[in-house]
Amino acid sequence: MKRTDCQPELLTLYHYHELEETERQRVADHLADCSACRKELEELNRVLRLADTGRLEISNLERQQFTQRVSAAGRGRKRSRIPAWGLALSSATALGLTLILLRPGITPQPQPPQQQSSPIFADIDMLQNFDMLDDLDLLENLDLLQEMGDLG
Amino acid sequence: MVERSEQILLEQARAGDEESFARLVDTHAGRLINLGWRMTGSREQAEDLAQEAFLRLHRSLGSFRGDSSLSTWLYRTLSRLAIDHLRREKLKRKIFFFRGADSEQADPVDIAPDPGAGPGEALLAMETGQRVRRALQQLSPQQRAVFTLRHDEGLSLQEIADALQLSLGTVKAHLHRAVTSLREELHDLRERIGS
Repeated sequence: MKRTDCQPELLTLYHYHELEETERQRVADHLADCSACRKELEELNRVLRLADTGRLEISNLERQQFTQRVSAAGRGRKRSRIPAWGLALSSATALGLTLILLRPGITPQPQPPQQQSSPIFADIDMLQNFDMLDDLDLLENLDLLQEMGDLG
Repeated sequence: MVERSEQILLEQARAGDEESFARLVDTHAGRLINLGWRMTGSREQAEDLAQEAFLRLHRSLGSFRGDSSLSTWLYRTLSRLAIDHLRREKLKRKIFFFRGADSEQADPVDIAPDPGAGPGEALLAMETGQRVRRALQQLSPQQRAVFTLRHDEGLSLQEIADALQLSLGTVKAHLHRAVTSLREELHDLRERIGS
């Protein structure tokens, strides 16, 4: 590694001892020659020391509480899986029955529409005839005109 | 590889012994919550993520073969959960134009001054903690995961690559970018504190 071969990314790996021995030696030799890279490495070390944020202290009691919570949640999930299996089983049964019924020969053939003789169907048919409704309005207006005529 | 005592606990937990599972949780809870805390910056989030990692272990007990150590498995699971969490948070911030966590949201433990330090030093320590925390928040989720696992947890880059399912080259690149970003963010602080 020559003096001109400054490679900052190698300094990061050098700091974390993540270079193969031969490459580590090359970087060490380069650092001995290059004051800019030495300064760079010093600054890197300083920043990374700042990034040491310490550890989160967890007391025994807090750890126990956490463990209890996880255990309870684990038991809860186990229990909730049982109804899920039941649901899956019943869904599969229903699907199976449907498939059996839909087999050729078992499937009921579509029937021709039956005559809708019920009075409610007759009412609906009549409501769909809007012309007749218009006529009803006219008749109402005619009655009103006649009443007004009678009154003078 | 899973240690013998841990292997026994795993076997017992697999057989439905809840006490053994609780002992496994108790053994790994501290380190796992710490990892979550470093990655998310929030103790509450860290506990939620750790809980989810343990619940995934509980669910996978039957299929856990013990090819990697239990702690590696848990680290890997929590790291992925944390990356997903950070990505979602980042997206939420983008949507709501919310510019990261402010100082009032900072974990009190993180910004608490050293009780042995004088008032000036305590203030500086508090400011340093906040600045470092903010600088870490500027990193991408993967950069933050790689940096935390290497810098704080001491995992090798190869272990990190395995845990995060990334190539070694990508892990190196993430680490370098994370360090560069921290240097830029903490430039003035570095000069004020000196060596």
